[in-house]
Amino acid sequence: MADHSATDFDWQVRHFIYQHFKATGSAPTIEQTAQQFGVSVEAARDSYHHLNDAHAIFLTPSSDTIYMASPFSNVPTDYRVYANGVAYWANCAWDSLGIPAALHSDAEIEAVLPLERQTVCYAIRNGVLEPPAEGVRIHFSLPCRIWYENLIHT
Amino acid sequence: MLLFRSEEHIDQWCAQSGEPRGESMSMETIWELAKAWYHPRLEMDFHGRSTEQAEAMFASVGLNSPFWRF
Repeated sequence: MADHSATDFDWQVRHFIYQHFKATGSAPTIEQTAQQFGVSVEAARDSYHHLNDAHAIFLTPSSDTIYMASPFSNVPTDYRVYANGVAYWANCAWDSLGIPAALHSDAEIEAVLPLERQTVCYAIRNGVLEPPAEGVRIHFSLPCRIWYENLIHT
Repeated sequence: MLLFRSEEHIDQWCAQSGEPRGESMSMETIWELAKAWYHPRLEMDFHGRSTEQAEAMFASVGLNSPFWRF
């Protein structure tokens, strides 16, 4: 992840964004972030865009709304993760496991298979993966050198 | 990164969607990768990692083909 223009304040904002995701399952708005730090909404907006430029978070194009902060998605996806009484959306199969890893917690996960649109369930219990009974494979379509700098497409 | 029942289902999905056929692995492998990759993600001083560090993480769980190098 390239650190193009993020300041110390921006990294503090990033930390708040992630803590908000952890507590609520969703991203804070720029208004909520401005209130948290006692700054103007414009300052919060600038920080969100600095972090977007640094690929630390991703904004919906032409907006100030967070689309994702990996492993968390701010929009519904095929990957629903339940941990510590909070329901999260994960960006992909990898991130569905990334959420319990980031939270250092157990989790119950429901994923919709893209081909047949059926739901499979798996879990992390006592730190151990309990995979779907049916057996699954995880597919990465693109090599890492393509998606690493542009995570929004993974 | 999507989830499928089998290699055959991956082939079918790629044929239907036009997505390129990449690499696949077990969920167990991705759980091991996720634990290393995401463990520090919520920490204040996490600012990302270099491509060298990323390659090392991939290799640590057996992902060391050219697909996993920058």
